[in-house]
Amino acid sequence: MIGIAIKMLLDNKTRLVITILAIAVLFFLSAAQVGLLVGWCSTTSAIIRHTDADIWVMARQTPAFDYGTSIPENRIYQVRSVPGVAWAEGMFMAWNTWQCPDGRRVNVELVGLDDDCVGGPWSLRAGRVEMVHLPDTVIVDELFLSALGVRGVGDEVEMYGRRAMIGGISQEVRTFTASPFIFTSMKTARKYDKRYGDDEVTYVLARCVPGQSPEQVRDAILENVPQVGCLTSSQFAVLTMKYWMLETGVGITVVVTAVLGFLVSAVVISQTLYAITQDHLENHAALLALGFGRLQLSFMVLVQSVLLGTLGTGLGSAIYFYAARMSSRTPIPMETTPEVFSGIVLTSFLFCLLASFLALRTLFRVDPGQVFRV
Amino acid sequence: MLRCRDITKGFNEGGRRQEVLRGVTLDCQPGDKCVLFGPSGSGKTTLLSILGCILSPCSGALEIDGQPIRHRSKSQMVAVRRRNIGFVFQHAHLLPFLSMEENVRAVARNAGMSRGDIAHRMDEVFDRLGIGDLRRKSPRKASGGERQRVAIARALIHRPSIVLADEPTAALDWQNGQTAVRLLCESVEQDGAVLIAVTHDTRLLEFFDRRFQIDQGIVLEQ
Repeated sequence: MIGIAIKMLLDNKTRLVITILAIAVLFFLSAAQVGLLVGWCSTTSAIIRHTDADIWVMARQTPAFDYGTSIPENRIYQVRSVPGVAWAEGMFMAWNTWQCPDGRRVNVELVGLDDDCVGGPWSLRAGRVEMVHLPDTVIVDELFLSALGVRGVGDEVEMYGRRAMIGGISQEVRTFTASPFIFTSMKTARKYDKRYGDDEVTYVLARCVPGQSPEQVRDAILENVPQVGCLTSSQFAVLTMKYWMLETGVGITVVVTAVLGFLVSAVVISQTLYAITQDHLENHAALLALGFGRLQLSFMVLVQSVLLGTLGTGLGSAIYFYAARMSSRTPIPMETTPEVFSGIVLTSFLFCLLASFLALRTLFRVDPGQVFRV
Repeated sequence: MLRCRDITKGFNEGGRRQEVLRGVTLDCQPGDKCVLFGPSGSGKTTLLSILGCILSPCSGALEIDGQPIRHRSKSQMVAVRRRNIGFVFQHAHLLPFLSMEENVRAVARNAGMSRGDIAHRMDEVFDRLGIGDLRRKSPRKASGGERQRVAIARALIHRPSIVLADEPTAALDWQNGQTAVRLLCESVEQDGAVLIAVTHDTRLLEFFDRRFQIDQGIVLEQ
């Protein structure tokens, strides 16, 4: 039956090729949307995930990493004194204005690092992260050099009327907000942002002593340090992702587009299978008369559906991985994980099987007796 | 081999009941070559559909190879069609996207024949019908006569005990039609099967040893 099903599909090669291309494009559309979503989720929480800390202490009601507000610097010492904390450091994070050499102004997210540079860029093309401790020195990402109007190390710009010099170039430190991250020291950051006092920080980052769970230490910090919010790193990453994906509606838009891609794909397959079944009604009737059962013919339609799905999804996957590779060095990367991609492929196959419903319905109405009437 | 008793069949048409078969009784033995002839609308095709387990009668009993047919059991009817019956239709009804031999092989495999048996039987039937050179040909590129001969091969490949032929010559010219019927009768005789052919062409009656006339739903043997 599988052989007959394949040959029936191959009977109209033009239709087959067009259908496979349509499924591939629609699969790519859906996979790309999910890939963007995964990429965005990853981007929104990149600094949190790459920071070697177990705990983030912040102002209460902080909705996301990008919207932290000031807390007193002495919280660092208070956190250090909590049982179970191995070390703690401060971090500064605030929106600022970058003035390009050509006079343009660009909104940036200014990140000030403490002595150990925890939370700094995790991959550098030029310079070292410790360079942020040099006076008026910042690190920018290579993806945003042109947006920031600079070419490389040594270029000078202005931050809020103060000199800033490029001391290093990071790699793949993307931003979801379209405002590039600028890394510097906490001391320099406070100079650039007068809204913060010299005794204020945005976050306190802490690591637990071995054997202590982040959840236990988090609870201990909440008990011992007044007027702060405290989350484990994974909680803070999820909170930030949820904020951008759900609160802003971006996630829903992307998910809706992905689902639409699957639905249109199902309609295309459904239309094709229905057309193939209609074209071969007489042949199906002959097969029924010759002793083939309806279940065998249904199996044939399902085989055709799975074949279309496999070929379309295979081609779509190849296009997706090529596009994902191309996008990996851009501010908007398409990313995926084995689990997510398997989910997309399974969903696609599920829709393919659902698409065969119309054809199966037609098949169950075929009268084998019609071979005597033609 | 094939026994039917008091088969009746009627249809509702436009609110009126129309009786097509009115108590048909037939007994056919292996090797019988039967022809069923009569005017259009006399019930020939309906009877053939019932004997072929495609239609169910309203009443009466049908027995194929000693096995009573329960017409309410769709799976039994499919199984009987698959193993015990060979069909030759008015038009060959070959699957156009398969080659000639693939068309025949599909029926053989569906009947549960082994690969070795299929290969041996295909050689035998194709040789007997003189269509060995058509094996790889597409039905689309074959003539009507060639297609009908392959359809005969398809009907015989799984050694059915009953071969039903519905107007097997209707789509062919006289020469090709005669050849097809002669080959069909010879093959059925060699296989020891029952052949029941339906025709309205009285010139073909000489090929058959039992002739049944059907008129207004009643069958009479001549």
